[in-house]
Amino acid sequence: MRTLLRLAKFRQRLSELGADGAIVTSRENVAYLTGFSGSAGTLVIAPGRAYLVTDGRYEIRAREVAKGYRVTLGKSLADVVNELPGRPRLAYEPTHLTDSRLSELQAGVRRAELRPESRVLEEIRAVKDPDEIALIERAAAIADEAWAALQPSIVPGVTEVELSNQLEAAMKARGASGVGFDSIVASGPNSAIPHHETGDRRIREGDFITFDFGALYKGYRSDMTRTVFIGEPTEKHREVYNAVYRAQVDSAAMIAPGVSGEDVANKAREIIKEAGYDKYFTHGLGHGVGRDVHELPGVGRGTIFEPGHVVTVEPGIYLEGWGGVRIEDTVFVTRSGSRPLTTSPKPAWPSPPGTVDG
Amino acid sequence: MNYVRRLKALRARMAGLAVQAAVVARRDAIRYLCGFAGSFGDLVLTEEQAWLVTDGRYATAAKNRTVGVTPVIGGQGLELVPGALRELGAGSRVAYDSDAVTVARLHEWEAALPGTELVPAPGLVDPIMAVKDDDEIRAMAEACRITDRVWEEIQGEIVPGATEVRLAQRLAELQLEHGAEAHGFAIVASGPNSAYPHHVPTSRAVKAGDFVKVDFGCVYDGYNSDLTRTVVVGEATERQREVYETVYRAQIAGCAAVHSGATGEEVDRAARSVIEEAGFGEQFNHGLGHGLGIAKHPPHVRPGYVLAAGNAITIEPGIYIEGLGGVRIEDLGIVTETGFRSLSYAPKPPKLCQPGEWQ
Repeated sequence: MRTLLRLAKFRQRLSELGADGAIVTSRENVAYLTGFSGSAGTLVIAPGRAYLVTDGRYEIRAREVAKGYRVTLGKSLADVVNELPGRPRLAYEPTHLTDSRLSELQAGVRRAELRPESRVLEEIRAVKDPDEIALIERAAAIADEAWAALQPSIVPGVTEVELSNQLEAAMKARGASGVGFDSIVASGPNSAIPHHETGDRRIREGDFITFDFGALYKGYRSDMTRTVFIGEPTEKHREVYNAVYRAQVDSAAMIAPGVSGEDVANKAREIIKEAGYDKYFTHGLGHGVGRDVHELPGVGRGTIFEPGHVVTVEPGIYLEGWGGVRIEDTVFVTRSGSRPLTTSPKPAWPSPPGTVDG
Repeated sequence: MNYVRRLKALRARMAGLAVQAAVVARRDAIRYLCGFAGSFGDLVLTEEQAWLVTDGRYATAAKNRTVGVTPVIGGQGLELVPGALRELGAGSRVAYDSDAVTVARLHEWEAALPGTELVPAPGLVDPIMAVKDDDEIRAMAEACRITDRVWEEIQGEIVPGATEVRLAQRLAELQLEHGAEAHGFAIVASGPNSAYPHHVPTSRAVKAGDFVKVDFGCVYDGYNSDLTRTVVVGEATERQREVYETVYRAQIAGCAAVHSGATGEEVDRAARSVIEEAGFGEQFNHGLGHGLGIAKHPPHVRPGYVLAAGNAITIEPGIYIEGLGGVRIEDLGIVTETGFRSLSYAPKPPKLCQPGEWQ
């Protein structure tokens, strides 16, 4: 049972930290360890036993799915902790547990010692097991297929929101349970805003249009960006786009086990700097992806890539008032190198919608 | 929306807590107080000033889509609240909604503001949000109208072969088409899946003999609707009829028990006793209802809460029998001095019907 293997790894890590167990309150981490993804679920993990604490709405589902856990209803977390023998040292998640919940716990707990430990599960989750890779791969394929299906609709006159709604519908029609995150469709000058809020602007000739979107499939997300151009690109359009293209392709190609995230990030930045646009590449190169759309590992200093990592590689150039380009794939680090999970056509020069190669 | 009134009410609460400033981190409370709907940012309020502190991703939204707050933009990935409090000269006591602030964030604030007493105030804005004003009721009524209309429209599609996922998609599409700002969740649970109160739609296709339990809603102007109706596809068994009629009677009894001053316990009892008397007490294992607005918030229809005029609540009893299926019937409405004014007008037949049978 995959979830129990993950629990075993978690227990091992906890014991390395000097903890006897843990209280897990983050929804994604509870789902990772149990397969249960209801909105109300907390774990109490102790030597020899593990509890999933939830409420009546989820009783049947929890019992069915969370094998190896004692499903507990109608008790407070403190009650469950008080049932544990001895004086267990329990780690909690300071980046997820709210201050008010900690206060309640501390008021109710009698013998256990509660201590904050950050990022323990986040670090474990950074290395995906084969089951997870398969799900992210499907989420990536859904995004690719939806992107292909959208191409005929990308014509002057259509609004950003219309395109984003179609993209969402196309992903759901292909089995996505939802979108990975709110899609960004940024046209013309809006493409110069990295996190533009998709709006009512109608696309027209001369626009770069950036599409940043992903699918949610069985709890896992993909993330990709493509930028198309409508009409005849100028020399500047070509220069900006191609710099982003080369930065994306060349930095992603470096990713392999043992390679440093800082080197990869610097590579992308160097290429864009050489083209003269370093000042306009205003964000990091990428981020881990999995159950959360932003998770470990980072793509920068402090990361040494390992097999099982899944990250985005997404450089961009943003010229306020004029336009911008971002190109992004979700990349999987294999035992010997890496490969993109999102494989939509990625032209090297500004291209109209529907371009398959070039 | 009357943001001025809401900020004033929060300032009154601040005075009551003897604090000179407040930090609001809960997303629904922030939207309630100034209209900001971004997923990152905090409201920092003093007696004189109101700042919406966020990062560059939301600069445009903070400027154009808020009312009554000054957008203050900081670097991405940084903890911006202590800096804002310092710049505002926030004083020695600052309240914060501790039910929305993680331990990690609080530690960062404590380290950055050694002279400040950070006063935990869980649910800081809840008492203000609990009583809906006319604008809010209008928005919720419109959200409910959209949901009601879509419930009628979907009847023709609840047929053998239709999958849960497809029906859920259609509910989302139709609500958007009818002017919803966003679709909410959609639970479409057919046959044995209807025994799960919070089933997530799957690719299971509806079959003759199935209960089809549909719990869905949309967002209009920031406010939520929430409706559950259950139908049968094809011939119903005696047992299915019995279960449905029991839930129906319980739902009516629950609504009838609502009035300003009623406790969550009393209203729950009124519905639950109907179900218990019919012998299904063990099969109704969740609370009777919850408060709702921009998100779910108190008062809920459970022990420990008292209802007051202006609260928006759901009344949603259910019976869930593993292997057979389940029924839930839910309305969303406003508590009045003397009763419950439902905002849900979707037909609520007293007897188990096939899709659209009442049309």
